[in-house]
Amino acid sequence: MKLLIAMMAVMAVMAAPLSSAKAEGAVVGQPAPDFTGTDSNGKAHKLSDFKGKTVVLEWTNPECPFVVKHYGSGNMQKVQADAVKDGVVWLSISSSADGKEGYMTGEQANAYMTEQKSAPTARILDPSGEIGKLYGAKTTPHMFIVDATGTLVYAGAIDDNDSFSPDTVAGAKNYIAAALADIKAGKPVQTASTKPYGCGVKYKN
Amino acid sequence: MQKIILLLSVLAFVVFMPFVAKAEEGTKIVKDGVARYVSVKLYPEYSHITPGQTLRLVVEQTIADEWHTYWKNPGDSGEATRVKWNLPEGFEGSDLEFTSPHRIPFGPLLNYGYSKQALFFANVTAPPIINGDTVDVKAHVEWLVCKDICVPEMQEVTISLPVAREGVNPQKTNTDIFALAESQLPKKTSWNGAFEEGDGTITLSFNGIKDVVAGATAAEFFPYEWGIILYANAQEFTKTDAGFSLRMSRDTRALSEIKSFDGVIVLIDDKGARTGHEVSIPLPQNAMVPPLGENKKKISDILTNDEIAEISEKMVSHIQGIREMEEFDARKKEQLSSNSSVSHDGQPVSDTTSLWSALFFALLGGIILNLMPCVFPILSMKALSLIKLSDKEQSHAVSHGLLYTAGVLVSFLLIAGLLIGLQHAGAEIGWGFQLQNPAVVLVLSYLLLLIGLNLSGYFEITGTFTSAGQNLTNKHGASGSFFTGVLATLVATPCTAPFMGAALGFALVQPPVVAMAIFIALGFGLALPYLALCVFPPLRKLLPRPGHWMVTFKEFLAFPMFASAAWLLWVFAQQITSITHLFAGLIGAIGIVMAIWLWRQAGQKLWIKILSVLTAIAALAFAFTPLFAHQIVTKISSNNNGVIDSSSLHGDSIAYTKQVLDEALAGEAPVFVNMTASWCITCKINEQVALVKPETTSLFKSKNVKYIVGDWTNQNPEITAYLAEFGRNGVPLYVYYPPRDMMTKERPAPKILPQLLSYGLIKEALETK
Repeated sequence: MKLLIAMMAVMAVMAAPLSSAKAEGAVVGQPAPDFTGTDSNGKAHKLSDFKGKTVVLEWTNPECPFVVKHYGSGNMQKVQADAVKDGVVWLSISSSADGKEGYMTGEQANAYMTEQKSAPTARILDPSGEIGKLYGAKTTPHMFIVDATGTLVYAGAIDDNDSFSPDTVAGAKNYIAAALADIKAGKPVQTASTKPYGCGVKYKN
Repeated sequence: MQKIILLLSVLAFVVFMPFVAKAEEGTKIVKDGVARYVSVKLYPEYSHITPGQTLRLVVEQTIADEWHTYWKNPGDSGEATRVKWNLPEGFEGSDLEFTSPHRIPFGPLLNYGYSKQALFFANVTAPPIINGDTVDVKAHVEWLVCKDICVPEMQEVTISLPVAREGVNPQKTNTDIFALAESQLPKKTSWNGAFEEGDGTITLSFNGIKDVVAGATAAEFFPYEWGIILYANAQEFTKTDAGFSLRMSRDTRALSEIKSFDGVIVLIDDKGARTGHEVSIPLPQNAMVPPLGENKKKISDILTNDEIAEISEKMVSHIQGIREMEEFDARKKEQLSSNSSVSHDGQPVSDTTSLWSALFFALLGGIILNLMPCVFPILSMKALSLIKLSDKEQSHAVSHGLLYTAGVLVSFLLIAGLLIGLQHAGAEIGWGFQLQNPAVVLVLSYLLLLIGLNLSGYFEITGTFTSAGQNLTNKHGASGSFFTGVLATLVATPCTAPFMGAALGFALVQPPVVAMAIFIALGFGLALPYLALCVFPPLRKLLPRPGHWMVTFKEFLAFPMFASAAWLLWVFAQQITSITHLFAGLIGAIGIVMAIWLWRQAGQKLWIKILSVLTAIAALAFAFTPLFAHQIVTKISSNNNGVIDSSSLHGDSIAYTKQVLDEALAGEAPVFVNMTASWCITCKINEQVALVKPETTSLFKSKNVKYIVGDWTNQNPEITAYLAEFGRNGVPLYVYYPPRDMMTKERPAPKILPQLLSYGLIKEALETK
């Protein structure tokens, strides 16, 4: 056991200078970190394969009250469907670890999506938290947009009202819809970085 | 001798206390009939509200253990508590003023907030003219409260205050809580702070405050603005000649987005006392201009391609190594942790190393079980009976040791086989499932009481476990040894449940063979100390000489038994819905003791023996009847505001109200109750995969099942009470009431179905008697 701790310590020290940049997560204006994730049907998706398309990453956890606010009101499904219709790739990502809130098997995730009438391009299951930590995803929801060149152009909240109360969805400004409209019009994203709000991502301890 | 007894008492306490502490975790606070994780109270500073004046209030949150609420900047996730005022016209209420927060780690993330108690200030300003004599100050407080999961809660709190008319002098009130809240409020400062940005760091330094930091050994900075520092990283505190500096890790939000760097610095002294100071630090001019990231050099500008390749290779192998260790660690934790739940689809143990370590820990756990307050007395008595044994009788000792071991192992295998069988039938249960039923808990509590009474010499039964060892040479002792093993396992269960629960839960997600192996290791561990004493005579030399002290010791050993019985009663008290059941349970215990007393008086008189048995039966009936009856006999509540979200209803379902259910139960037909909520994902999935399936609908039709759906999406006290009847405080809950028996005109006890449903499970529940 002592040996193990010692080895961990050595590893941590060696990895520290290299991982400090990594710990910050994805940075707006920089190339989005590449990853490969497996979806609820067992299919692998690689971010860099979507080059040429806009990609939205949505961190989610069906049992988090803030996610419930956006799904219960149909808000998230609408933004999702509009984006996918415009040719945007939408990846919903769950980084809940096995045994933690929001963890689902592929089958359960598919049943959930059917139930919620949610139709992203794919739902990535990331129980190891690898992709979540790569992007520094902190909350559910936490949103990222990668443009056609592979650059991260948005990171932050879904909208500007951080209450968990469902009746606040109506009056809120949806940052994702706005950013996608900017990209579609060929303009730089006006609001590129906002404070993410929601429940903490239920990472593996 | 006294020393030994003292030592044992201490040991019993140490072993015992964690259970008490553990069972209290995360209990909801019940206030005004509503169970919440947080309750709120308002305290005015003065006895009266004065026209034209501002009244200060303290808002207090009492938070369930291990849960927390959030500061105004919640950190990596969460949401701050907020208040909306509902005041008469002309009055104005302020936002909450936050006291200094704490750092609350959550996995790799960190939150700013409060545990146990949170205090806030708020102001209510009255208009110059107030009509009426009293004013109702109504606050609608809402917050997010989190542990592993997050729950949004809200509460309306109202205080009525008399209006101060001329000649009335408002008195100061609630001075204690105001003083406490005041002490937690950050002090306004005019500290001169310097802001310095380094490579991935921000350093704040303060001068001219030598006296203030004299006693401080640490400091924490809580910024008001998001995205400037990485919350989870450590903050490095350094004392300087005239003050201190604090170094933090930089997050990525551009400094151009903020005007100045403001927040609260909490200084902590060596006793852990915290004092908050509100600071405002101007940003250096150059920090304002370039948004971060734009002037950052790309990695390829600094390093050659080969260097990049080399570094990434190193990184990959580091990450690989760390990941392997994390996995190893996670597996260890799963085996050892005592309160993490292990899901059904946990990964089976793939390599033999971890199987061996699992077996080792199970064996160790079994040995430790010998020290449990419920097991220790029985085994001590057995062990002491060996003292008198001469070396000639060694072969008997060995065979009795082996028989005892066999008794333990057979019991373990029976229980394990039952568990595994039930699990494969799809039931969501774990070790300790027996204890989820208050009747079983009460039975075990009585069993421990009886053993305690036996040990203290209140009654003797020939051929019991205590005397079995003394008759080692006759045949009678052989079965005695075997059943001592059975008894040891039986009385060990209440102690194993909280202690070994998760470890055995882990065993149960393994393939049956592995699970059995782990159970056998655990049982062998339990049997091992006594077996060793039997097999190796030299070990017995270590036991003290026999003498009168053995009687004293035996009597003393009754107390851990009584303590275990008391603990079980405490568990029982939390499972029942009415305090009357506890009274009935205690009367039952007294009745049992009385029955034993009568038996002792009986001698040869048969009628006293019969009286004794009747007393025992009456006592048990008195204790257990209410437990079974209360599930059916229920008061009809006048509260019928069951507004049902139509989306939850489907098929031929009927919306739940207490009256509807009572009427259905009064009839003959079977009843299926589904307690659901639209925010409950498990419920929705169950409805998808099992309940709204055509075959389920037709099954219900063919069996003439009345299908009642209760929607708990919104607060509904009737449903909450119904859930509580089944010892639940959440949905889903599926209950099946079998049809009334044609012969007895009785309705059999309702069946509770597992939280993960399938058509097969429903069919099974409906078709088995």
